[in-house]
Amino acid sequence: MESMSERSGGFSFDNVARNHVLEEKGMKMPKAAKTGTTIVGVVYKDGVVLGADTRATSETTVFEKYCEKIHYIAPNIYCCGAGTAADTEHTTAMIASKLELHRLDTGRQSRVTTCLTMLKRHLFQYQGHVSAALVLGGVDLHGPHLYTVYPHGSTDALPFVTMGSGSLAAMAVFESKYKDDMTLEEGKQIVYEAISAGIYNDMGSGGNVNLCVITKDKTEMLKGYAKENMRPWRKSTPYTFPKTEVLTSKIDKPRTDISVVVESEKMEVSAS
Amino acid sequence: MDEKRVTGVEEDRVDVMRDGLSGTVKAEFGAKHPAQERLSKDREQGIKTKREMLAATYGTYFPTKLMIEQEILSSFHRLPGLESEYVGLETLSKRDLDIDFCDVYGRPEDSAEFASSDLHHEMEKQLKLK
Repeated sequence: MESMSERSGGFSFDNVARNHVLEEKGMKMPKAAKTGTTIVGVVYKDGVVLGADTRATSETTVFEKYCEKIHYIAPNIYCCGAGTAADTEHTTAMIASKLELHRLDTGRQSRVTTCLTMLKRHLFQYQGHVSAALVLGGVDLHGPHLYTVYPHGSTDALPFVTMGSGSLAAMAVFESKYKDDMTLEEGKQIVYEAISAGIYNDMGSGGNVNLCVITKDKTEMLKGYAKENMRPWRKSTPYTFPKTEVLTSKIDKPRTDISVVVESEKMEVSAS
Repeated sequence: MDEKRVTGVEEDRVDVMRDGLSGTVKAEFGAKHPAQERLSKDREQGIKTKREMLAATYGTYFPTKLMIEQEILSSFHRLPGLESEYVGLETLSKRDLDIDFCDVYGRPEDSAEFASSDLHHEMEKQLKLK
């Protein structure tokens, strides 16, 4: 009975036994590619500022120059992700859905701790195999909150946090320049400087600086707050791709135009 | 020979052609992913902890009552081989207010085994006609 009330399904482990046999026979198994990122967060006077670079790497190759690493969780909660892009993307998306359902049920604003508990439970369950290192920030009825979540499910609550391969460079900036009760401008500046330190000193981080400012009443995404890795020059005559010739074109339209007619009819309120 | 034991063995025999390797010795003792065992253990432990928590808060009767209700609600299902909807059960356990990877990946209803299973065979198995 319990098995029926508990959902089966989830990740498939069908190939584990096969992979084990193949490995025993001497096949080299692919390893997870090295990733790199700088993500940070800081608490200022009225809320939280999150920051991220925009470079996505696999080993030594840059796969994407404008990768968005600040993920939506709830209108008042956002989350920066480092680690395997798919894992961070889908873990945060799943938590966002869970919180949306929770909000529909309770009719209240989501709390950051709810989100944190959901995240750490999920990650701890998978014992670090879901490779998502996160910086979670938000403002709820208890004020601003900032957390880091490690892939194994452990968490920290601090006024300034960094994550990813560029976290050391970014933390150096925070440790030397952080002060309590900063203004918005100071908050944005220190986050920009921290991400910038990651971009210039860490090979795995690069591209632009994206910021997210969360306050009690509003959330603001600042994409391309600073563009640190712009191309110094471009070819004056860029390569033009040869175009494929269109031989024929035919557009089928519906025989009659379909229009939506709204009937205004009074709704029956009571059946007295 | 003990007749009961023989029928027991008959029942335990797995129809590999229809059910695949699950339940066979090979599947049981093959290599497992470290997270795999952990997940099933966590699931069991979670149910146990929740039950203990409810017992500590409301008294032993509460989880017992809940279990009886769950037992009743999970007994209403479609014929084997067809997808069942446990609306009452999901409401009771508040599963209708949650979404997880289990709702998307590896749903038993989406598996090849589920799609290929036929009603007659499943009923025969359930009623122990075979």
